[in-house]
Amino acid sequence: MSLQAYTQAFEALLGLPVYDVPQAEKQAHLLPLLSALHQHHVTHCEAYARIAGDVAVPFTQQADVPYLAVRLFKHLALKSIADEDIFRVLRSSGTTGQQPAQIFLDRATSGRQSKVLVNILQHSIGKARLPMLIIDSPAIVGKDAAFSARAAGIQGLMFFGRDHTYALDENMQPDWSAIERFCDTYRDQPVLVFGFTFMVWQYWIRLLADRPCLDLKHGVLLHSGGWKKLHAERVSNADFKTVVQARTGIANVVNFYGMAEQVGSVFTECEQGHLHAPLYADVLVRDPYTLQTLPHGQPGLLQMLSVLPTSYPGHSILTEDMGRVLGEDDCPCGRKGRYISIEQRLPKTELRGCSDTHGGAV
Amino acid sequence: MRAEMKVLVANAGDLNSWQNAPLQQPFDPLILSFLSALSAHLLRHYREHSELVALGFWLRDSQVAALQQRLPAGYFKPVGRVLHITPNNVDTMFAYSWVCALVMGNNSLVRIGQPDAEQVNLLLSAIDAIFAEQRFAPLAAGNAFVHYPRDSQFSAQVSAQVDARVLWGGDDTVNAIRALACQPRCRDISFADRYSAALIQGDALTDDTAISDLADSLWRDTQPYFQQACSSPRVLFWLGDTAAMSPLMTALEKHANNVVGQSIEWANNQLVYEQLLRNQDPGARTVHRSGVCGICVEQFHPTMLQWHLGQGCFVIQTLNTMNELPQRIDAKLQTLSYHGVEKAALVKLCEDPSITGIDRIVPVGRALDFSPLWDGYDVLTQLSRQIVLE
Repeated sequence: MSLQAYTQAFEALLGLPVYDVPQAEKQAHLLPLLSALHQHHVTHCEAYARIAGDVAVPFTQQADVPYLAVRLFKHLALKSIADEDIFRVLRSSGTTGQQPAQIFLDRATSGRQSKVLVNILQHSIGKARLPMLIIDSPAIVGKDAAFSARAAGIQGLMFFGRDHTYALDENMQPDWSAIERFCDTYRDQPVLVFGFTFMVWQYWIRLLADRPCLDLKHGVLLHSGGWKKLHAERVSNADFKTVVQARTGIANVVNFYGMAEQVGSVFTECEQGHLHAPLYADVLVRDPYTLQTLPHGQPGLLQMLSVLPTSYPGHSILTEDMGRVLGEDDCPCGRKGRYISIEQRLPKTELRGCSDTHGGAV
Repeated sequence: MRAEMKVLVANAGDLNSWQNAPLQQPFDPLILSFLSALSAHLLRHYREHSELVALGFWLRDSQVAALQQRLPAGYFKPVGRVLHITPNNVDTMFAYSWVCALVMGNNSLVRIGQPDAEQVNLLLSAIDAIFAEQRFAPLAAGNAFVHYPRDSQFSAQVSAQVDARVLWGGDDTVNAIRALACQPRCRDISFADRYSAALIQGDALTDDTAISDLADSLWRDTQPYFQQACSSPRVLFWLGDTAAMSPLMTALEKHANNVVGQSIEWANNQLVYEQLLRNQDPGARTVHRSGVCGICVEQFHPTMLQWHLGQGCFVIQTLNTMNELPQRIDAKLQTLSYHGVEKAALVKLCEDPSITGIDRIVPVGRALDFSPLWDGYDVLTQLSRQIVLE
């Protein structure tokens, strides 16, 4: 399948409902797209060809799709486009001393990400643009051209809102007057609140303990970004929802799972608390030792498939997240396809080589 | 500035005393008593911590006496006040660095990067316990152990005052400290990025016992600090018959499973490293990935170690003859450990004019034995002045 044929097939996919295509039919749609993406990246990305090129295509089953370990995006500049076609470079917010991942986007890939995100999130927040409260600091967005994944996430979501209000100031402290003004203005209407899970908790919800409760009962809170820090504080998803509702009035809290390496095709949480694969993406679980695929229900490393990226070889990524497939086509919420839970992230490996005594800044 | 500075050993010196306390004579009896007491303490109280036991053995009277005997004839004085920037990857290394300065009578300020690491903490407590003895007070005052943040100006302040700096770290760290102004006669003893390799003669591995003995020795060099020490072999240069390669990996896997158990983190790091290597060497072939990882490459180059994270990864390069070795290595090769190779062949290797690296050639199993002859320096003479008396 040529890139042109891929583009046509992808456009056709956009015409299908996001959550109503049963797994078998969905796989029949995705597999040729994944084969085409594989061939495209083998041809255009030398590193991908060396690492993953030695397999037979077209694929006959999802388990045959080779994968890159997610950490490779930190170590290698993986791209399948010419430098002059780079539209944006996403950089994951690596912690201090960690190399950030680099994701190279062209206009076409970036456009697909936006379209797909709209299709997915409409199911959680509806079609209207809602007044939007962003649990972050305006300093994070637009500071420089090198886009952090955090800034990209916020900017991607801003499309879904209007009257964007930042809840935190430049120093990551709550701007209570802005928050209260937002709540007063939009008390009786639907609003959208967005932030990264830990920041929503740490810089907003936790601090509301000592303040009057907010009244955003028509609001929806979208949040994403990992549970590690919250689990360390023994806050479960259920606790999170309970406390959010008690302190802000928001009953509709939607977690989603996504990563800088596969922006757009996010897995959103349904009423059951299950994370659902959208039509454009799928998931396999692999044994972390043997790397064999595991049956549903068994925990392992998540391999994420996405049919979006042509500018970088990120259509099949072995993550460092442990999780399990809870089922397919049978969630009580009615969505078709696979749904998963995330159990934990692997600890980040410290580079404790010799290069570690003092750091660059002395 | 002082607020971010932590003095880690209460009974040792502080930021003022370490500069002002009198220097000692090299191998002064008080120094020898102190090291003897520290050795006994480590061997008595920390039996289950193999790295601390190894240090305890290294500090026994006979070992310290051997250090003294190795000094060339002549009259030695300490070089003076020594700043040690010590490595995080090898918990006990700061002590070796410091003891080399101490036996030559120097005063030391030792910067420790991760004072909370378990073995570091235990070792600091042990040093504290011995300095608590009144008889060691003259030594205590001249030696301080501190932690301060990486971005602190303190390294710059101290650099301007000291007579020598012992710098352990990556190239960037060492260069950053060396860029700080120091006294005109200040000496820098730099231990920067290095890697190590083992040279294995496969023809010698003819039966299970030979293979399992080699695995035991190789694991002894690999397991401490999870292969992250500079001296732990990351590359195996393999001569002769390769039939034993796979059984050797299987034997190493058993060791790994005994020590770390099944570790998803190890497994995942090995996968990441395997993929990175395949990018660098399209002919790379994984011979083992379970517990430990062995990857045969066609064209080994030291840049293949840039993402090596330790944790049981061996890059394997087969060689037809020893003559192929010099072209595969560079100045950063520190320790070449060997198994089944004749000494005469190793001497011949050293004589090859193209050899710029290799500071130690030791049998497999002894790669991590610290010696004051390190990275090509004699640390003891570097940390002293020799007086010419005619």
